[in-house]
Amino acid sequence: MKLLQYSFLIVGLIAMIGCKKYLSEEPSKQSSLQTVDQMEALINNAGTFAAEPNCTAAYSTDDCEITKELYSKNPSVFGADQLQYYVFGIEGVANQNPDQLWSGEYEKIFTANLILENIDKVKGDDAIRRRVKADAHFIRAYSNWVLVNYYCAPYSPENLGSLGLPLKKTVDFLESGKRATLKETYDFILSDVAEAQKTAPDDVDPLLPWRSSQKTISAFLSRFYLFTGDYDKSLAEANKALTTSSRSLVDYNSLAQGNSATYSVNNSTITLNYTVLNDWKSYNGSKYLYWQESYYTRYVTNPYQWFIPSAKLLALYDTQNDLRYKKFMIKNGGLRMSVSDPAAFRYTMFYDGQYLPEGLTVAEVLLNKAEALARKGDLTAMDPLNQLRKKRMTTGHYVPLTATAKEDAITKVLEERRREMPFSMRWYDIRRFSVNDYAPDNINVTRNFFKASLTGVDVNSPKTYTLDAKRYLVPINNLDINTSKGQLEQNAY
Amino acid sequence: MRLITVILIASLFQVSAATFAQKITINKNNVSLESVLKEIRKQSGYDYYYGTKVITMDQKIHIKVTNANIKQAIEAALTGLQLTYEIEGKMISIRKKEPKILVRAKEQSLEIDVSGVVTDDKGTPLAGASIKVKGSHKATITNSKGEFLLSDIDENTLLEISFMGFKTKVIEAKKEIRQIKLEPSSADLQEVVVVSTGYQNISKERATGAFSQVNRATLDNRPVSNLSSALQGLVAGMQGKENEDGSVDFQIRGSTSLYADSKPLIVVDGFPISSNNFSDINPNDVESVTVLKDAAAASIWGARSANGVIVITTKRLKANSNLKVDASAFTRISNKVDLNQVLTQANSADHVAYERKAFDNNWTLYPYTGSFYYDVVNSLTLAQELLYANKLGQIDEKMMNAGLDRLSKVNNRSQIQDLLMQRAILSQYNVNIQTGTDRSKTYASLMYERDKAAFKGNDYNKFNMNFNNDFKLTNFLSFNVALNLQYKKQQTSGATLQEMQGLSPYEVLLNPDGSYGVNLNDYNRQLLGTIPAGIFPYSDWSYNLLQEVRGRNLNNENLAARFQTGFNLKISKNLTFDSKFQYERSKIDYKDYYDESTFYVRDLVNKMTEYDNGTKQTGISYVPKGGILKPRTFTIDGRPSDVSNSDLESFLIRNQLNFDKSFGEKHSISLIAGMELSKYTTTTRANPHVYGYFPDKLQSTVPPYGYGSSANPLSDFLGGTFWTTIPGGNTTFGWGSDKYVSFYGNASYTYDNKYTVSGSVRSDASNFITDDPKLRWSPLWSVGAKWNVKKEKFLENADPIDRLELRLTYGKNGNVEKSTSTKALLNVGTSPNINTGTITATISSYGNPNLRWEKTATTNLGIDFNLLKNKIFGSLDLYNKVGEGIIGDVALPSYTGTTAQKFNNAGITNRGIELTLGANFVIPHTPVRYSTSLTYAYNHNRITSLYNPGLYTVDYLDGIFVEGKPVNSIYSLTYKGMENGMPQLVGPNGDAYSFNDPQLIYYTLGAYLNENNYEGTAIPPHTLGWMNNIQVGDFSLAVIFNGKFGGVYRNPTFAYSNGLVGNGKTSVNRFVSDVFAGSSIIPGFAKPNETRLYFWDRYTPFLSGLVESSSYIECKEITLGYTLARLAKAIQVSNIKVFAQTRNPGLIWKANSKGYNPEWLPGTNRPLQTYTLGLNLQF
Repeated sequence: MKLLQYSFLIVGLIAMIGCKKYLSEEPSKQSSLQTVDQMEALINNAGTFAAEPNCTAAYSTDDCEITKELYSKNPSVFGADQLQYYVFGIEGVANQNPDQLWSGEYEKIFTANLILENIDKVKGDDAIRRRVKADAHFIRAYSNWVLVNYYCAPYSPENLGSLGLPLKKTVDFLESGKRATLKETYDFILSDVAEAQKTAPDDVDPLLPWRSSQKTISAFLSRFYLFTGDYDKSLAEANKALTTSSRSLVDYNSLAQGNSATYSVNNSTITLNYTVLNDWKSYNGSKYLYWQESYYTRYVTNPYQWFIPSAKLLALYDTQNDLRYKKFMIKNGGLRMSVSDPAAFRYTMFYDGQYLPEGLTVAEVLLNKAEALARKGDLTAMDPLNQLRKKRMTTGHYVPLTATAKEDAITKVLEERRREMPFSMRWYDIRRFSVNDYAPDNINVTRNFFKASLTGVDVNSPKTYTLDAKRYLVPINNLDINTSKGQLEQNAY
Repeated sequence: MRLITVILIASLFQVSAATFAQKITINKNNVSLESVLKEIRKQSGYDYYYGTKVITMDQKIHIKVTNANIKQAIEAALTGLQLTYEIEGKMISIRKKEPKILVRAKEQSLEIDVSGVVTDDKGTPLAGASIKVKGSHKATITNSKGEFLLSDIDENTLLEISFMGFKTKVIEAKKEIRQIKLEPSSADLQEVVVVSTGYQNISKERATGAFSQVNRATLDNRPVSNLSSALQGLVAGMQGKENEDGSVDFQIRGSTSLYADSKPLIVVDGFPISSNNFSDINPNDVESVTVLKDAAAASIWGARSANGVIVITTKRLKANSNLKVDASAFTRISNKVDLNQVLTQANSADHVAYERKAFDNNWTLYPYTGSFYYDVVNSLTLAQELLYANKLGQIDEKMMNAGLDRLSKVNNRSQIQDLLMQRAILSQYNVNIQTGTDRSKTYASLMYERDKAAFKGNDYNKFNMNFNNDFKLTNFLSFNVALNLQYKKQQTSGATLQEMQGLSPYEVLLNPDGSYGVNLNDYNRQLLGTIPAGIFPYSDWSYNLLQEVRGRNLNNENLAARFQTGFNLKISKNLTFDSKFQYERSKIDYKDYYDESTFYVRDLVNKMTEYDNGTKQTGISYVPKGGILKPRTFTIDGRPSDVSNSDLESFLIRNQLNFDKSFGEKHSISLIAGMELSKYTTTTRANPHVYGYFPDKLQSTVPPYGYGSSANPLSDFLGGTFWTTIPGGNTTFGWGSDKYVSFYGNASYTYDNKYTVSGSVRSDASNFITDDPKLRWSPLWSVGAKWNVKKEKFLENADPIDRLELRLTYGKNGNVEKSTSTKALLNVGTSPNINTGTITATISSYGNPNLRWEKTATTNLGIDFNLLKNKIFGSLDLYNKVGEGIIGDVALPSYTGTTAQKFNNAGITNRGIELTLGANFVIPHTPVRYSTSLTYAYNHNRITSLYNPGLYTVDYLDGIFVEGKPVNSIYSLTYKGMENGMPQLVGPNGDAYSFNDPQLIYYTLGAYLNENNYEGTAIPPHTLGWMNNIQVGDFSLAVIFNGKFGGVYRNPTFAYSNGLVGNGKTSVNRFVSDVFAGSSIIPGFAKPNETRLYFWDRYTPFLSGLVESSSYIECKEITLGYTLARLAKAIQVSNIKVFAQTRNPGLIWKANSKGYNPEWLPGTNRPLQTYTLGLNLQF
């Protein structure tokens, strides 16, 4: 009997010792971070990284115009919160729903941090590891660049000491939310780019255009230096990027006709014509992820699904021959799946009008190159510009542009830039033009609208709004200010 | 072997029914003591106990008493004899006078150790029965196996064995007493005497915790398919929520968690079953159900016990018995489904009237334009087809009106009733066999159940086999094997409610000529008609619900086995060792077959065919013609997920030491300690779909052009679609494993049968909570005390009180929330993402570095009482459950990467009262016996802390957790009426907000909703169950009532956007009649051309006018039983009983104005009223 008692004791002890190992098996497979393949799968969740819900780009620039008439006849189409972006509200913007741009970019940064924290600890192929590491650094650099260009002061020597971003370098929830200086923020971006350059492959993978490459990084740097006023570097990086063998311009003449939609409004029939990129079928697809011109798939999206071009923007186009106008400016187009009354336009490029390319395309790099040359007074700036225009005008109606002087070249380049990338690049450009060393490019944005607040619009009180320099900084959402418990500081207005 | 005869004099005499004389008069000389005692008995009605060995009954005595009371008479009889007596109740025990100390010393050699087993009349061991040595203070209590041991007892003393609910018995002490059987004190008052925690059996007298028990007697006569139905309303504090099939989900003492499972743990014969579901249990096998409610009762179950524990004990043979057979059968027929209850569409006239109105007013979400690509996938209704045909000039107004009039008069309900529905019939047959010897005891049962559900095409066959054998290998080793097998084959081909809701009320299933009627579904019939006939693989692209139901066969087969075994080793007199093992395996196979006649098949084949609407030519057809065999598609986290097989495997090992000992005369202790190891593994697999499948020919065809991928995109008939694939190209797998390790112990000490203290401790670890050992283990504990007040001197003679016990306990229970982990977790795709062509992953949990177990501390104060000769009995419990470290969502600044993360930071309290009251009466001068039991519970639930401000108004309306409010709080919006054709809400600061405004519902810090908008809780805090039994001779009648009070619910209302073209097929619900009638609590009709009607549905369902009290009382069940004693005797069986029952006869009272059962609002398939006829036979 004694023997039995002892044997139970021994069995019990063994059980206790073994239980740490016993409990170390995970409750589900692939749930904890263990392999580089999992990290790569996170990067390949391209749809999430590509989307950038952005109301400032959609409503706060002079590319957008909501006429009093359009509003008065369709008050229900415009929510009070999107109008706050339109009238440059400060409290009105800070007090609404969580800011999807801010939170979305920080979510991407979290994913990048999660990868960077674990990538050297997990099992797997070293080639994949190096590539994923480059991706994560580039994602973090790109997201920080977007954020700093919305929420912080524009880049200029005078502003370098001003408030930058909270720099998140870990996945720790307790990591400080205090804002670094603008200089620290830009330094952090460049350091991430340098890290990405160490291990990124040479060129864009045509099947995985959301992954980073040396060409992608050069395209980004051509933009980065253009924005910091370093035109030589911008030009050099643009040239590097343009040596890509995988990316090329798409001739818009080759864009096939898509399915059109017919509506009957006020007893007349209106047909909206689309291309294969933006007809209703695209709603189910993901063509935007494979856009032939993309170095990196990033898209400004509008949660309200209607980019409304202003009269001034429309006036820049050759309405007869510019295919960007003919294919993407949909006359009578209203909110998705409807027509507008009074007649307005709907600017739509991909995915049912929600997705506009923002990230690093061949077109942008050509424009960066042209602008760098123009700002340096080099009139060959017109060459890359014409290279682009050739693919954008109706066959047989392309006429090369020429510049008479530096000023003329700059004007023409900037006009083309606006025609090529309305909404998505305009906010960035308004800010940067305001602080660069060239006053003529400064832009005044004013609006004639009604008195608008978060709780509604008073159509009996017309009001004029002007975008001032302080408001070049998008107000940070108060929800984030509140939940940070004093760490995150709001911009001064 | 010496035998001491115990004589109960009562058994020697015929008991006369006459009333006994108050006074005793005897005058006799030189008669035997025996005859005097007989005489006294005759006159007084008192019985005697005495041992024949000690007392010489034939010694002659003289006696003379006149009008004496019993005491005087007995004293007179015993004068001069060396005898003494004691009167207890109607029992007089006579024994030898205590010898003087000196004499006693001489007799030392006669002292013996007495041991034995106390059982009930059926041989079931009685744990906690008290054994008292008459005339001394020595006493003990039986252990969990009914055994007792008394040391150093005089051989010739008497032992009094008593136990609540049984007649007290007196026997003479001897060394080994095999079995002492106690007779129940009253046949219809079967007191619960022993409670099971799953780890041990505790006598109710010594149980400090809040246990509620439902015993066999209550479960008998309640023919059920699922045990949970029989438990509804029987246990105070166990609130039931009925499911469609009549089974019930329980919640014990309120919600203690926000995100973790809130179901109680279900334990069968000591083992938690992995399905945590009653459906795996044959209700006929159940002996008793014990509900563990407070910490002292449940905390032995540690980290899984915060929601309470339901312990089920199955029948097993306890004593020797000849072969005994019980057979029962019943058939249950239900009413036909009330289509007005389950379907919410408007009647045809209202439907057509609204569609016409919507058309005239141009209320569309997306207007029908007749464009092929846009509109072919937007089905119109039959009425809209007429309206648009007129608009497009295809028919004239007269024809349109005639058509609409005709539709207004069609009603498809009778066809639905006849062709798709039937009376549900469930039959159950059960046999159990028991037989046993000293060494081996067997219980076996076999159940067969056949169900034909109310929807034609839904049925199942179920077998359940149970086998249980106890072996006594040696005196110190016993062994048990139990096996439960269940097989269920189910067909669910019938129409679903959703499919029936998809029919317009004027769409018929069959035309008068017997052909299938037109049921419009996914496509616009007119545009589909522009495709030249016969160019698609299937020329018929139409849909008909009846054809669909007939053409499909959706099957699942479930085979489940549960194997339990264990041995018990008696190490020493007081110490035993238990080792137990359970293995479970449950496999489910799903096979959904659709033949060629179904729309599902024809549509998929046609749809996946290239087509150019310009040239009207077809190209490649990607899916081969023929039937489709596929896995079942479930919706998991909002996404469809296929399953062909699911396989659950679990094992549990437990080793436990038990120690029971009595010290001295008044002390007894009982200890258990053990460890447990368990693992639950679930694997699932979804097989590829089988295309071109002909089961009769065993043929199938692989899609000849592949399944499509990002490298090889297919296009469907609308052309140009990117990345379209054929479903079911991959085999997909799922896997999950939960592991637990636990150590536990429980101790109790009883002093003098009056005071008991108990304590338990348990620590669990699981593989969810990883890394930090400090956080991984969860020491959970409880303490309890019990005071048996009745045993105190001052109550000994308080006649009206038969039992009075006070309980006070405190302790902590745990709960598991599985969705979080200490580190970030991923959700990695199992097959390439259709958009990127690669495996993709998302972050499923951002990590909670301080994750730990949720803990709930419960204080419980309870009183148990029996009054007026046990005629009234009951218990009252007060509890306070304080949950801390409950996982709550914490709002974070979004620069952390997320806006909310689950942390152990919330607190929930549940306070409540539970009252159980029972009574037993024989109505004087009649053969009528009435017994009743009433349970009442009140639960006050509050979230005491939670750092997560509700961000939007919509969160409040959707039932977000709000600090200071119950877990299921209901908020409403205040309606301001219509202004210029636009409904208005009262918004922040009292401003008016139009229903077209998306702002209000997403108004930041939506906390503008205040106390006035708080309507109450969706879970009624007051619940009532009332059970009545009336027995008249061989007839018995049982009636059960349930009630819930104090909660609120929302009335369903008109869905303004469902009547619009462009939002799927138009369906108008019946509440449109409220709008036609001009109700003031919901919006009226909109102005013409209103395009934002779909916004209205964001507000309307939440308007305050729709909220009403959900209180109600229903009659749940009426059962009539009849015992055929004579017939039984005639055909030589022990018992025959027949019974008839009806369940769900309906509401008796309800607080709401609509006449709804608030738990079953229109559109839900509520359990129907059923009628059951059954038979029980015992051989």
